[in-house]
Amino acid sequence: MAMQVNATRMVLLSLKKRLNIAKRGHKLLKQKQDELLRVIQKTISLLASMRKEVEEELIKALRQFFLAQAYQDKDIFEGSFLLLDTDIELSMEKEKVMNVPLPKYQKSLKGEIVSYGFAMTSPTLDVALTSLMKVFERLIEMAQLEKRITLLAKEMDKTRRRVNALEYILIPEIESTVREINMKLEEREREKNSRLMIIKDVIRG
Amino acid sequence: MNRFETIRVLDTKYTYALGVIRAREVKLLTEKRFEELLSSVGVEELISAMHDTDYGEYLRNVGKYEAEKALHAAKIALYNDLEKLIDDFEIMRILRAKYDFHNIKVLLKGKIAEEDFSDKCSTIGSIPVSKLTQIVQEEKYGHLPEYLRVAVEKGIDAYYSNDHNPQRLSFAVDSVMAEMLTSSTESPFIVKYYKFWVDLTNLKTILRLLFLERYQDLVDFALLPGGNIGKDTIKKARIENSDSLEELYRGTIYSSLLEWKDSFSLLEKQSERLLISFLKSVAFEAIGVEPVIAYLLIKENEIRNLRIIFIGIMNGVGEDLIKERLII
Repeated sequence: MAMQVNATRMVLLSLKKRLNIAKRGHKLLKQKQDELLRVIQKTISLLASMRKEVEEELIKALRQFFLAQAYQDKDIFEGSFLLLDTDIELSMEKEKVMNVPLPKYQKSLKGEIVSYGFAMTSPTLDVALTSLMKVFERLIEMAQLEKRITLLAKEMDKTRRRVNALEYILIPEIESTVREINMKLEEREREKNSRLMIIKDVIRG
Repeated sequence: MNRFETIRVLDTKYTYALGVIRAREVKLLTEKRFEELLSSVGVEELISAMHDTDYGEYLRNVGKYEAEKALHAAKIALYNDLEKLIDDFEIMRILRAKYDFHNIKVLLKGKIAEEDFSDKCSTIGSIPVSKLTQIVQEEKYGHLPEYLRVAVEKGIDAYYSNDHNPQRLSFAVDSVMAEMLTSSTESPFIVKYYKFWVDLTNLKTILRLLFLERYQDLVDFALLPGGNIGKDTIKKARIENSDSLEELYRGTIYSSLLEWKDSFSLLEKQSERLLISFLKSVAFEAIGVEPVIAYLLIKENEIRNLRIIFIGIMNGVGEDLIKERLII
């Protein structure tokens, strides 16, 4: 569908300029879309392998934890974790990948994860907690990757819509308008020529 | 003269208890029975497999998530039964003391956090939780037995003088507990047992501190006093890694445990086995309270093994891994 514009040479020139920009933009966005797809696929495969590893580690760490828990009475076990000296802070920085602000999570641990007495608790509990802490760090990495995938996917969707809008709407519209203006200008040229020929004939009498 | 009289008094005092214990000992679960229980598919099957044991009455009409509670009830009953049986408050007070110390730690933490943690207290302690809670709430520590009052003082002091560190509170209370348990005058056997326990706990503590890379920071506070190998001896040994332990423990009964220094679960198992073998060495004595105390502690270990099996099976832990942790 052509645009509602005046069929003048000025408009034609500006439309041709717009068409050029749109084609260049389309090419760039298409490249961005391909790159985003590549990054997303790479991140997804990284996440998938990480998820598999983390699930195994988590199951192992949880089993260690449950067995360590069983060494003491429930009261003693739960009592050991009261009034902990441990504070975990999660901060977020942003880094830009293809102009998409992506999160970078950073965990900081204040105090010690093992902050109970040793006389009534099993040493296996220290190992279990240390393993759980390692898994926790990897879970944060996984959360970061998942969030990145979501944001990149949103960006890719936006880019795809832009590419499609350029490819199927804006560029064909401008092209068709340019074609119409060209036709109208040619028509006008022909009209002018025939009008001049008629005037010439009249003068010649 | 006096010596003979003392033996006669002891002899008659615990004869009935010994008889009852002899009858109960045969019901202790054997290694084969533990293996049978381990092969249960699911907690429900495990519960039904235990109906003919001492624990059957506690596990009747119990859901799979309540099994741990049922085992705890069995433990409470075990302490109450033996208290009635030996009718010796002082000995039971020492045996229940570790739960009193746990309770005081929990209540002090609650006091500091201004929260009620009394539901995390153990009901096995010699002082009722409600009474202990009231004493801590009202800060009438003078109403506590001397050893708990000292524990409160040292615990609070350690907490506030070390940047509000709750671990230091635990270390301080545990140290008072170790001093109390290893200096009791009621039974030389109990003292010997707890000295043994302190040594094993200290050995494990050294390895724990090395594993956590906090040996230099905490060795002065985490080690328990009262063991056969004193705190000073350990500190003088200037331990830097687990290999330097060989020198410290050379020639002691604990040296064989260093074979498992790289696996805490195996080390825990072997050290508990050493304690159990010590208890079993007095189990067949014909007089004295020792076999009764040994029975209590062996039974306590049995309950812990069952808890490991229950929790392991409930959480889908493999049979081999559970078996590795059982102290049999």
